[in-house]
Amino acid sequence: MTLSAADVAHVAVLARLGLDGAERERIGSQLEVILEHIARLQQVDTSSVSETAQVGELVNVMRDDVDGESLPSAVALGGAAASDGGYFVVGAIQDNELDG
Amino acid sequence: MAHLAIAVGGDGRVSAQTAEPQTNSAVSAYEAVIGLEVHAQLLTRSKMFCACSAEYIGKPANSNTCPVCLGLPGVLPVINRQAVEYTVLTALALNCEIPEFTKFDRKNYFYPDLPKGYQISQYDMPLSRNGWLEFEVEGAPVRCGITRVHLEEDTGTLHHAGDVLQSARSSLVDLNRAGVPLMEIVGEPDLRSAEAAREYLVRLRQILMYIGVNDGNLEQGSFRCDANVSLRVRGSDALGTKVEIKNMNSFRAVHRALQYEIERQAAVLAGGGTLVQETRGWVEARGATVSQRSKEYAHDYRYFPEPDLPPLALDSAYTERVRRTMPELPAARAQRLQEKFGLSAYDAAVLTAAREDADAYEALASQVPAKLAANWLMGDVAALANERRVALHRSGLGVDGLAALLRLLDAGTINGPTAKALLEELYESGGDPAAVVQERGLGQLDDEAALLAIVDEVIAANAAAAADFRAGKEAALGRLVGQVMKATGGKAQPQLVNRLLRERLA
Repeated sequence: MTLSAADVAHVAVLARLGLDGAERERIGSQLEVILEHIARLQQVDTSSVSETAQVGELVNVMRDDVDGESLPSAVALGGAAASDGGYFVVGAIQDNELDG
Repeated sequence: MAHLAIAVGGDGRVSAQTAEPQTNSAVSAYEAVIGLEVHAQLLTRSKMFCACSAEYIGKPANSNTCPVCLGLPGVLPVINRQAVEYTVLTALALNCEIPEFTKFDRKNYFYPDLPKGYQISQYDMPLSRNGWLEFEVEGAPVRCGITRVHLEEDTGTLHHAGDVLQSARSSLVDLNRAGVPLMEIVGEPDLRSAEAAREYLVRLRQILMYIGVNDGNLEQGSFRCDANVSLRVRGSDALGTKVEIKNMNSFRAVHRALQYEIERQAAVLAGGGTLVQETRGWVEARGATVSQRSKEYAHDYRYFPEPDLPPLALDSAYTERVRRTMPELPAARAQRLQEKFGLSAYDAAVLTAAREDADAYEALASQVPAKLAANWLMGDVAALANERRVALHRSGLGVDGLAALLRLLDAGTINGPTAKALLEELYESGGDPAAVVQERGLGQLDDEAALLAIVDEVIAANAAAAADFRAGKEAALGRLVGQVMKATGGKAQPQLVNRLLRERLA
């Protein structure tokens, strides 16, 4: 398996990581080692094992629809890098910049 | 008809140019293929995965949040039981299959209105699949397939600082809406016109409101719609390039946006051009869809199963229990009222448009003649509800008060004009119509001898009109009836006055 430079750049964008050329190269080769490991795992015969995403065997864990207390907004905003008038402030987002 | 085509240049600037004025003939060569995705907020008390209130409209920014919906590290979501039940109820109303096993997944993307960096949604094992919705478009039956109904969480809302979006340096984030239960209803691409798309939405919204899972507010965004539109040459089965349309927040906007997009695509194809698969936003002020140039990678969501939520195993006993809570749906109710009360199809559709209206009609029609109830509800009551912006069931008079009023009218205790005046007077304030009639002596004057004396006075005082009538001018009678009604303070029964006048003038 070889990971192209374009693949690495693509994954970096998805992960919101601003990587320079040297970093892309270094991380790309590390990523490749991980993918090789996964590829090795995929060689194991799992045809008799059903797919699972959970090992706890719990099902139907639900809560009743009761509303409780929320945080005071000052506390909610307490960890924000910037806030204004009760809002979190982030860099300008254009509606068409990324698909929500 | 000429129309505008919007082009986006490499610099991202939008320019408009007039397309070839052969749009209508271009459109007629193609068939539109439309599929709709609806997002509907569920009317639960609390959010999808935490106990914050799901009511966020009008609340101070970020006053409705907790560590779970803020996406703080180390917290665990727990599924809202009512949201699952509402989704299953909706799926059943839309004739879907409910699988016995379903799970949640993470849909990963970065956006400031999504504090966790992923949305909890459902990917490959949704709560339901394979349903359909039937309705009529211009008298012809249409069946639109429902691909799936699944459950997810809403995002927060973004506000742009500064007046003009382009000049804004920062965006403001309010997470009150983040985590509100959101149901996604994905329709098959079975719709063939803007009219069919609008009708599908009207019927779907009506059903959601009937079963009490959504408040149907397009303007405030509790009921939202995106559309996928492509064109193909008539008679062909091939699918054309699909364009996604967003930002339509009224039924009118949906209709206009789809109509515009169909014409735009037809003009491109007829001119030998090719369409780009893209997302376009409806810009109401410009009456046009505009490319949003969303990057390809934004759709790379890397779904994986949500490790923090155990799956749901909803057996058939559960599904049947939910099914038993299903109220009568609008189409069935309209049909039943048509048969039971002899209503026309049109009247039945109007009277069952909203569940509260249908409830009011049935309550009234069991107490007064069905036709009388229908006429009043669709006439004076509808006009008044519209004018005063208060639905009957929320008015002071209420359904019971209206029933009492119509019983007085039906029994002949009061006449039509008095009933109408009382309706207007008591609509908001409320009150017992019978007591008001008694108190103010509004009862119909049905003492023939007393009325006859007034009739004679009116004839004597209006000799000219009386002579006209005797000479064969029917219209003159109306003037005399009016005078008698005036002399009795509007309390006489017009038919009786009419008869007495005719007898006296014979």
